[in-house]
Amino acid sequence: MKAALAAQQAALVKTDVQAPVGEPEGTGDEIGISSIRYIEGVITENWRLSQYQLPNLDLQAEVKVIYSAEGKMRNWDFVEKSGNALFDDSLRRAILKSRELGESLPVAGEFEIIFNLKDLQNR
Amino acid sequence: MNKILGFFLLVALLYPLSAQAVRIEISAPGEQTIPLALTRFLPMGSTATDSATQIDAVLNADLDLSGLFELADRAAFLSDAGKIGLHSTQVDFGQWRLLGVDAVVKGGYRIEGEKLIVEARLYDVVSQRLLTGRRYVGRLGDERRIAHSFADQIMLALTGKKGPFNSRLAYISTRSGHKELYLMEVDGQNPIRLTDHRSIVLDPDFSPLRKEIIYTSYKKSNPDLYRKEIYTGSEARLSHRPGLNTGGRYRADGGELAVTLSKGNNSDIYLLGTDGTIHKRLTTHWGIDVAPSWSPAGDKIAFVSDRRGNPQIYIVDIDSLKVERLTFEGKYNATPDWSPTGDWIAFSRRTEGQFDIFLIRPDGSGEHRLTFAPGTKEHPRFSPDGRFLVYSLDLNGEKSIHVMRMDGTGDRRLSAPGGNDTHPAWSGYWQ
Repeated sequence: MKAALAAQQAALVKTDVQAPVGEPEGTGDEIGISSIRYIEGVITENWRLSQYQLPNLDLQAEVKVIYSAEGKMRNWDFVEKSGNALFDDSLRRAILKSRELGESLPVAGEFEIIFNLKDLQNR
Repeated sequence: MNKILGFFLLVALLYPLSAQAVRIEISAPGEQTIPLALTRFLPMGSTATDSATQIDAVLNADLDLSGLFELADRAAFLSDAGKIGLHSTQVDFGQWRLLGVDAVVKGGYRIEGEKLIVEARLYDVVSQRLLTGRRYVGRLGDERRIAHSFADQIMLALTGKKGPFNSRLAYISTRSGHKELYLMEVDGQNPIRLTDHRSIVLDPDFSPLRKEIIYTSYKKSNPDLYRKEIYTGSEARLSHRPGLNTGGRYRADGGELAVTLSKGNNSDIYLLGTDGTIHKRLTTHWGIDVAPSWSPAGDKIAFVSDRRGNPQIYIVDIDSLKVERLTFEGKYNATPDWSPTGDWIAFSRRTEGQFDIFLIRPDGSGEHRLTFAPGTKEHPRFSPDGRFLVYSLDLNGEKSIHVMRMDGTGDRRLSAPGGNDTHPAWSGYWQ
């Protein structure tokens, strides 16, 4: 019995965790979520788009955003547009609404954000 | 040594954020609705009237049905809601940003004698620009029509495709004591009776070219096909061959009709000219073939046939007359309607003792059920933009007209209580 419990414990410790710190699958040895996840959360929350606006859900665009260490947007631009004006407009709105993150970052950084609708396609 | 090592370790840790762009994938928007502020239209110079209330009610209902918007709570509106704001420079976008809305509708109206002038605007709050604006000139009493038109414009600005709100629904109702043809707005308002046959009127369809409706009536005992001009009231029999003259459906260009004729024998699908002459027989099977519905390209027709024992949906090619079976599930599939966008066919299927609405792609793939609530749902018909479906619901002995979005959400009753309402048909865009 003891041996079985010890084996179980060893198996748990040996788990190869790939997820970032602070994520449910992460190591949990630091407090708070990563700045990358924070930025992702803010921009996702500011991205509003209804599937009823779109002829199809097979759209993708890429945006480059630069944030200062104070969490303020220094610059942004499209790396690649989707070709659908309404989809691209919704991204423009999401980025402009995310000009201030409300939290500082460890350092200034450049982020390439890929927007698509994969989660809606899978529903 | 330790300090140097520590420095390089720090650089290595920060490198991903500072020197190389970090890639983030966002695979769905945070919310699937657009936060929109719909302000009440204000009087421009003249005194306030009931016009604003009517415009407001119609815009609210249309925008809600669209499923596109989350309408902001008016209790939270600030002082800018009290300004007409017909130019972007006159709008305090900062106030609307505070409320978290992406778009704002503003407008005003003026009454000059019997004339009603309405100015309506839709602004993008984030980029502070005008998305669409219209000036409507009509008569007092045109408030609902104007509001439906602007709802269509809002849909066009935000989706690239006009809304269907300024169109009409035809349907059959028993509220006069007989099954007669009626017409109402797409939100169920202002129903008017179009026939007084005091018999049985069935299965209407709109002409795509004129304000004209075709339907079957037993006025002269036989189920004949009629046409009626909506505004003049002029009516004529289009096909009165012995037996069935039913299920008339105009081709999208209005050049021909598909119809079920039995000519005293077995029922088959035929093509008729707009003068009622037979152009072509499309089916020749001994089975019963009924309920034709055109593909938007006009090259195929979906119909119902019991040629394999049970009523199922089939598709016939107009040129080759080759017939292919579309549905294989269920024992009773009926009343197909081909979407104006061409990618779906709606139909009703009997499941567990009641009919429900289903969608299937013209190649037979993607079949799925849209309705699950109690009651029998039949006669689905698409809106002219293909976004909505109207159908008849038979529940607790009462039949009513309902509308829903193409994904089955947003269902609501349109026809008022007080009669059995069936066989809805959606007009094209109403000029």
